[in-house]
Amino acid sequence: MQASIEYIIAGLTILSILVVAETNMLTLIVHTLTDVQQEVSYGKAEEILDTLLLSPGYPPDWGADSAVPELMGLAVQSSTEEYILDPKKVLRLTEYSDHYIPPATTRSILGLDRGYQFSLRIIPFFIITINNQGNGTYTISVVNYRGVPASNVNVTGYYISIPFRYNATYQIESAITGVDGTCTLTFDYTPNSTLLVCASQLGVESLAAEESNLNLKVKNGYVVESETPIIASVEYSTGALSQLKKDVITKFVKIDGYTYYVDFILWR
Amino acid sequence: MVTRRGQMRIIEALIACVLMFLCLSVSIFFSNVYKVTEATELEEAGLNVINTLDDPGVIEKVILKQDGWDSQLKSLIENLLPPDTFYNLTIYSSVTGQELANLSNIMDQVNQTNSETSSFRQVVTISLPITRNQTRKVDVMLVMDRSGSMGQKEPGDQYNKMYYAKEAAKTFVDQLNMSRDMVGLVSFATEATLDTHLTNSSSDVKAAIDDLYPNGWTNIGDAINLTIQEFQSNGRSDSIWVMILLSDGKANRPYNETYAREYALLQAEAARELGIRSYTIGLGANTSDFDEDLLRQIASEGYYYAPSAEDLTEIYLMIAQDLLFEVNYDIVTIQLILMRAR
Repeated sequence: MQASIEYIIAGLTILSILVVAETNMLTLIVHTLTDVQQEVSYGKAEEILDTLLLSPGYPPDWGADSAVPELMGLAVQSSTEEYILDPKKVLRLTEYSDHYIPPATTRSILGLDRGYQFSLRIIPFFIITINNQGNGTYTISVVNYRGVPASNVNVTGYYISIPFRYNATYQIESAITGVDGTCTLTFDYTPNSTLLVCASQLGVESLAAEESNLNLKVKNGYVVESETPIIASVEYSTGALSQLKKDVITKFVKIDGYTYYVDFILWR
Repeated sequence: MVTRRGQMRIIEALIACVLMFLCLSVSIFFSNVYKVTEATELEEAGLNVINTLDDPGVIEKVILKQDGWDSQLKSLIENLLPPDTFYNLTIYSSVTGQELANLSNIMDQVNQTNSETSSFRQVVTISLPITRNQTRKVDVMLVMDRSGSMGQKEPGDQYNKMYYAKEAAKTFVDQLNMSRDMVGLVSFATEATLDTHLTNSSSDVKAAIDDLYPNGWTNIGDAINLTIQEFQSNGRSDSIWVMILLSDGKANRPYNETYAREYALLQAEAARELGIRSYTIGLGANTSDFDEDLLRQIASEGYYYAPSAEDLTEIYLMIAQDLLFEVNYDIVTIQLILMRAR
């Protein structure tokens, strides 16, 4: 009788251990499968981001049109360098563009089914904040794309009259940011003037303007007119990101000579 | 006794189950997926850094050691890399082997943390042309053909060859820094003449160029001889002596073609022995119109062929660039090691 009870207890114990083991192992296997799936998704995301950043799409100059491109790609047409984006194409991903392309349309052009979601962000390498202190004095704050104050950045301010005339003279002042990522630029106050700021670190540059939608850029140290306004940042997403762990693919690109940080997430 | 043996078997079975469960759990937990993802992130970060540095604009600042380049490079790397990533960056010239930059934060922090690390390495080679102003002074003698054939027009041309040669030579004079350089003019036809001594006055030389008139035979040897004499009389010992000779015909004076050719080669050899750098330009729609082989032998620095007189300005500018600017090509290797604490 006692032996029978012991066998029953032992059987129950082994059974309970097996049940617990199976449950735990299922969790572990599911976790592993999720990781494997993420790896596959990561590869697909890399492929899509490369298509977006390295190909000009079709037609190759679709940024200048109002039509939706047949193939999606943001690269400049016939560029000899990699990761050089066409500002006109990038602008069409912003909601204030007259010829905005919704993310769902892009998803379809990229050949992704509705089960896929993606998020594409394009952020200036240096995010520049211009604070007008009055009387021609400006405090410039520079943080990198991660939001960390960027020290040792060469900041050059171009104090220009508006409307801008290409042959007009303007004041130029430079300073280097301190550990808190800030510096001050002082100009002789002139009414109807605005500030254009270029932040540069060893040739990696970002541009910002006190006023938005200024079609200007700095080329070889001179302010010149640009076909497109300065691109501040682009948030382009088919849906809100869930809390699930997702792999982010990051790249650095150039738009109109300025460096931008790009991150891309693809999930189902 | 039988009961005790039964209990032992049950305990053994339990221990075996627990061990199997533990082994499976551990093996699944330490599967490769996690490691692969980590490595991919680090590799991506490394490629991003390399891509950003793989820019002649950035590397040129490092090579030229512009003010604050080292601290700017350090800040830039730290801005490019994700937090908690350790790096060792070396940039060196593959041509000279010279180390151009070496930055690292590995020694300071990794040893302290004593953590496990993984590493990534990428080597990129780029070609970088660097142009620097030539600081040495130059004394240039322009040696120009004014034989009769220079008065000919090419089919469809409004002006004769002499006109284009004059314009090109004057453009060349404009490239010189007259506060530092000197220029003179020798022209040749049946005989050679020293039209302007070596001078700092570009206007004098340009006026002499404008006065050239095409007429006569081709005496290259005497022209080189006069050039040598001018360098010996008025050339500065601390400057580079340069002769730029233009001709559209075959040497045929003094005496005859055979003697004239040998004489020209003899003079060219004398010029070379004096350290005179010679550039020659052959002008003509067909290379059989002039003695291309002779011009090649006279040239110590370079021979240029101008099929049309309109090409002369471009050729003179190329010579000016070759002469006044020093262009170095460097192959730079960027080596990056990244580590991240697990």
